[in-house]
Amino acid sequence: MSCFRKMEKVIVAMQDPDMGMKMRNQRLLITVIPHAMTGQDVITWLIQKYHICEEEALHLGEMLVRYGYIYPLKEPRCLVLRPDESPYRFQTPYFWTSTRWPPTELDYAIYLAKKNIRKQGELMEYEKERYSLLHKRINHTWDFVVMQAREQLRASKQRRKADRIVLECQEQAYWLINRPPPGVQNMLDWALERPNNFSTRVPLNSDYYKSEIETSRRALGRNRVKSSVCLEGFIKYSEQYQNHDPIMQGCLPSNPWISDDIAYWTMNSEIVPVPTRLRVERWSFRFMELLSDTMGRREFMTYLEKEFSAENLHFWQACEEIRHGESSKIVEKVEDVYKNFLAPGAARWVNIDSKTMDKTLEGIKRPHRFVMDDAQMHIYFLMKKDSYPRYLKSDLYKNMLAKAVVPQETKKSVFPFMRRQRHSSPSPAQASAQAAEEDGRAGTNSAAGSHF
Amino acid sequence: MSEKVLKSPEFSWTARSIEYYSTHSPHLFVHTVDQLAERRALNFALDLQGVVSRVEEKMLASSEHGLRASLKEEAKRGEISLLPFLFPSLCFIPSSLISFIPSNPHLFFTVEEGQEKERVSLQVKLDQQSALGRASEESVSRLCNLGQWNLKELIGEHRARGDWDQVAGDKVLTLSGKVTVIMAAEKAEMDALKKECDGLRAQIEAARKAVNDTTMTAAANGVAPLGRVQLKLRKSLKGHLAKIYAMHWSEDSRQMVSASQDGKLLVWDTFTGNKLVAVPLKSAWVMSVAFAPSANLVASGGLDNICTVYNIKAASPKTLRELDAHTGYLSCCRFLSDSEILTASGDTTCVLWDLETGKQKTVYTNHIGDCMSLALAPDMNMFISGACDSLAKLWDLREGTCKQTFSGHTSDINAISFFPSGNAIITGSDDCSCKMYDLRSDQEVTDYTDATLNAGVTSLALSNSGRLIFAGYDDFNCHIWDSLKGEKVGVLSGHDNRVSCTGVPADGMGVCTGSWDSFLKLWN
Repeated sequence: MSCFRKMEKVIVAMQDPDMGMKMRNQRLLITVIPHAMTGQDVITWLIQKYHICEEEALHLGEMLVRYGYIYPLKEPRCLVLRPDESPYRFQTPYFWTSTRWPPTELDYAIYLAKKNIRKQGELMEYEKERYSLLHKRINHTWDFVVMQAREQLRASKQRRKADRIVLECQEQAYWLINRPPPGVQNMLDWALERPNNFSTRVPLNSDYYKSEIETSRRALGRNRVKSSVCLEGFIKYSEQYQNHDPIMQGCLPSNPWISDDIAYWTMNSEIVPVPTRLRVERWSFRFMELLSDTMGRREFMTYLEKEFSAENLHFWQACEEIRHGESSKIVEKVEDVYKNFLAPGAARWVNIDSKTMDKTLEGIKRPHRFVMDDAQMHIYFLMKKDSYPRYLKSDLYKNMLAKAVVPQETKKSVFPFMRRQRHSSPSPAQASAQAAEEDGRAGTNSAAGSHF
Repeated sequence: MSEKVLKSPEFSWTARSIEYYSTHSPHLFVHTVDQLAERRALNFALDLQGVVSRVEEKMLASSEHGLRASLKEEAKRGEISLLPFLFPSLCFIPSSLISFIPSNPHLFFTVEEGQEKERVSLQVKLDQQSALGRASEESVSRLCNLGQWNLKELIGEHRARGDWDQVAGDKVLTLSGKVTVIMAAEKAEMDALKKECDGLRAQIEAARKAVNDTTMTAAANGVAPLGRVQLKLRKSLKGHLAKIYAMHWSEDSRQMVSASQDGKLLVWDTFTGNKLVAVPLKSAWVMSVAFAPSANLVASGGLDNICTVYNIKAASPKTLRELDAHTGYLSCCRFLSDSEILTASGDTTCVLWDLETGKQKTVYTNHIGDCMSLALAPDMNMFISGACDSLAKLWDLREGTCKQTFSGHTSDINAISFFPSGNAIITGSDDCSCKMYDLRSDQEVTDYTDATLNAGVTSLALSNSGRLIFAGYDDFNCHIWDSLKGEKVGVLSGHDNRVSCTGVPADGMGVCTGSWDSFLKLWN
């Protein structure tokens, strides 16, 4: 995993004799073991070296502990980085996750056997269970396991006490990560294996190439627009919608996630007495924006009724219902549409060109979900080219825009002692200068989200 | 990838155990049991796809010197990887090596024992780098007794899947092996078709080049840069007990559904943090989840190959439909309405289902790799899919045909999304990059890569204006890209494990990330 290599780089940098961390000694009754450091040292070093804030340093340090590169000496089972005097030590590269992975059953069995032999009753409950399971599973090599365990114990007895303690700690830390106790999440869990053998799934034979040729011919015939035009389009779109993008520009009155105030949602719900200005503005961006907003559509319908062309929008809506509604009702709906909009002398007859009309009438004989597509498209473009631009110039729209409400930003003061009011709808994209200043002053206050 | 039939010089020794296999300098070291217990090296030449193209045999002396020693040196220096492993004795004499494919790990030999010829396979496990890692105790299996047959009669496809059942063992990855032995004449026809296909593709590329009159960098020159974008963690949703694999926002931008391998779907009210509905799943191996636009239904699916649709508005969540026709895992699903749903599957197809009848309406076949992700166009007439064949395809929903194929990635595409205007698509891949493809000019316009990022992209989402791309990576972070300038402008780091899913709600309030550390975090 790439992140392991990155973590290892950090660890190596930490152990650099010149620029690395300050080491202390660990006192265990009468034994003194060198090369220990406190949690606080780790945090300070990270902050200094990478110029990050304390919160990030804590998170980074905690990952180093959770993945086994640093282990705690006082409470080995608690894989947390405490920013205080608690002692930690670096794990030896022999036990790094990347060098000894995956750990084998055999190794684990030897480790448990050693623990068992060394002191009766030292195995924890879950370790006892695993031990007996392993005994069953790899019974055929059990002699080897016990022999190895005995050998290793004998070899360790010949070491100095300090070394022995360190080695025991290291091994214990390694196994706490690679065989975590029940209830603790396994940090080294891998994904579901994705069987990536596509060569065995789709045979690359003549049939495949024949269909590829067909698809490629079709793709070749596509209409292509100049890059300059397209790219200009994206830029314009982004600019146009920037004010409407809460992540880019914040949103008024406030972002509910930050202020815990649902005013924004109330003001922007589907039907409101007075819509917000941004919302009404969006209706002028694209025709689809107007149609997909319930209020917008209602307004447009009012306008069309004044112009005596409301049947177009009614027709379009009816077609939408056929396209997206229940299959069982399609036949019935198509009948209705024909009766109301297409039949000669229909109450709400829509004006479609003869070619499309003929095609649609033919299709109605065998109704399906998309039978009205062409007619719907025709009416859609009719409205888009004709009625829509006129609506945007009409008094109805202009009044709506003028009446539209621009909410006030709700002021929110998070901490009474902060002199400056915090924005309840900050714009993260432009907040960097602001945030840096605030972070410097307020420390970790800023990122304490609400936890559930 | 094609499998090649090889002939190798006769081996007249008995392979006793395989000592080493090295991927970079492809040698297979074998211990032999003639009087001398010699070491032999089979020198493979691997072509670019890692398929064996040539085999030579080299004999090493029984001393410690020679090729093996020098390889060991190189391994120490970190230049190549040598994996030692013990292998049970092979007590047959390989008479010729048929094929070896590193990615589909079988070594096929023909064996002669007296009059009989048998085809034997050694099944080995590959680790992440496709190097031989371990072989199981019982991986030697006798495939078929050829009797008096010779190789010619083997021509055709042999599905080896059933045979492998005899070979059980924890350490063996059972891949369904298919050995395709192709005859020369058939190969000639295929080559001609392939040539025509390549020709058409070249024409498409030329047509694309013809309209390419500027780059995104040039076009976005006048756009003000963003500076550093810092989003803060606003909420952390705790409740899942295992890795979160997928999440999807409801259209009301307040409810969200998430799926985790603890076997539950949770529907959250993200504002209060309350869990509104908990749906227990029949199969815990869930990979995807979707919310219907009406918010009445949710769907989920995964390794069970089934897309299950639940009605969450009932008193207790009820299974509405089980859509069971895929032959591979379900990687992604999206509702079009309460009557239709689109699914993407590991069987390389996407399917449009009619929820009322529970039947398939349209099957979209064209990918040659597992489909990993799909996204619906805002106008719902088209959709896009990304797959393990590193291609993104644009489909016509109604006609069921592939309208266009976008290449450029060099590895599996895991995530795909439309630019909000509907005129471009963004893809995220295991090759550590994201790309933007423009649908109207029909080509790639931007490549979002950074030399320091060497983790694959698992998920992505765009902000409402399309300016910001939030991409989740394997290195536990979610990086933020400026879609127009192509620069990395921020990072969301707060997860302790891989970010598996990202989503921006319809009102664009912020972004939600879900991770293997079992938390969902909301940022803005």
